[in-house]
Amino acid sequence: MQLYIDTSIQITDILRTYSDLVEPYSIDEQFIDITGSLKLFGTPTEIAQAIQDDVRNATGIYTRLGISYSKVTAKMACDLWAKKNKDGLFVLRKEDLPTTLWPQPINKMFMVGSRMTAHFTSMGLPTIGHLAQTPLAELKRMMKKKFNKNCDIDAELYWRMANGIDDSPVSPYTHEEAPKSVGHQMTLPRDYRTLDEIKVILLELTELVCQRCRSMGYMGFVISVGCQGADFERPTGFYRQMKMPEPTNVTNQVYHAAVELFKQHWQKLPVRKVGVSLSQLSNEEEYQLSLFDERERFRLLEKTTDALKQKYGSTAIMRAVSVTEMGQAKDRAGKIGGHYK
Amino acid sequence: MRKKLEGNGLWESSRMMLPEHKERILEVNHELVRKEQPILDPYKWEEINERLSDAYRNGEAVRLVLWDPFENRSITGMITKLDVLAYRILIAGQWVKLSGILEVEFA
Repeated sequence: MQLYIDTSIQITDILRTYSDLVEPYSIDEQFIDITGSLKLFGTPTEIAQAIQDDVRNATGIYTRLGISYSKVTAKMACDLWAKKNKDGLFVLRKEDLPTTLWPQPINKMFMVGSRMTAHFTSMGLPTIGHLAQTPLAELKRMMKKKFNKNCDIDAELYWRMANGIDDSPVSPYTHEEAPKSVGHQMTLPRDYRTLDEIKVILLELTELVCQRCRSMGYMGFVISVGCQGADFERPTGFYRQMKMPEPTNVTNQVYHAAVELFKQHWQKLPVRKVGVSLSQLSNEEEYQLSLFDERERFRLLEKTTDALKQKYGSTAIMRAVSVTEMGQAKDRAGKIGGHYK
Repeated sequence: MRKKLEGNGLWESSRMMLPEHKERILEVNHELVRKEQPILDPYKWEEINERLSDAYRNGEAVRLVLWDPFENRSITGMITKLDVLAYRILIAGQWVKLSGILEVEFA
């Protein structure tokens, strides 16, 4: 997996030779704004071909590029056409939307998955064009009726995408923004059935989450816990959150909250995937003192364990439960994104 | 709360990013702003030297701008020692190398 990350960065570097506006969107997708490079390097298609050549020469990877006037249309140009045609390039022009994008079935649209496809179809919107040509106010009303709640923001989002409206800039520094939440989730090698087993995983995940928060200097106020059963066709599980008594990044405190929350909502069904996250983040240097505050004491201890992990690797010091059969921390330390390094 | 309909919200709320990938991106972005140390004009050097010795002799507080590959920093205080042999000064309790000083202002 490390190789994927290194290669992705290498491709970012290549793109930067054409424009400084490059935004990695995922491990294998990046946006580049070449508006200011046209005079230097030629037409959009010429630049795209040059990028394809450069990347292929440097990495051996065949890239596909969707070319358009906005990020959302570029993304759809890539997913719907460039990935399927011979030369791996596709230009989606604004004036061609009615003849190219609109006849496409609704499930081809960005952000429309199987659930939304079913919803839109039942609302009488089988194609992207149907959605685009529904007046926004009407769409808001339809979605509100369908979901029994106000969905104005989502309605506008879908409507804008169907109409190819997206004014978001290619943002090279988007990753520097402070995160809204810090979370980890883990798919387990087998079903975990008892609370004792699951608690081990909750502790390991909480430790990871808190450690990352501490390294960034944040505390979280809201804890979220989620789990999922093995059968994704018939989903079981939950995802719930609660506010803790005070913001913290102390593993033990967050862990107790996580276990409480889990016990409240777990229906004793086997669990295959568990996630823990902290949100409503605040600076750990500024907080309200409380009478029985233990954070300072824990902080010293955790500073030490964090430093050990940083220096000698994350398995240098572990919770005792992590070396039991249930523990996953050791295995996880050798992985990135669920794949071995 | 950052909104999906504003700025880069749509893409920030939808992206799937490995923390390890993000970390590397931040490292690379950080390296992009690395800069070389400027070579100062001899007159500038002279000015810096004069101001430093004036400040030292008169016990005046100064603000120094110090070179850093990523972001220049500044330090304000009185110069309490001049170490001519090692080309350094003691200001506000810190030893500062003369070669890293870009600017001297009287505070």
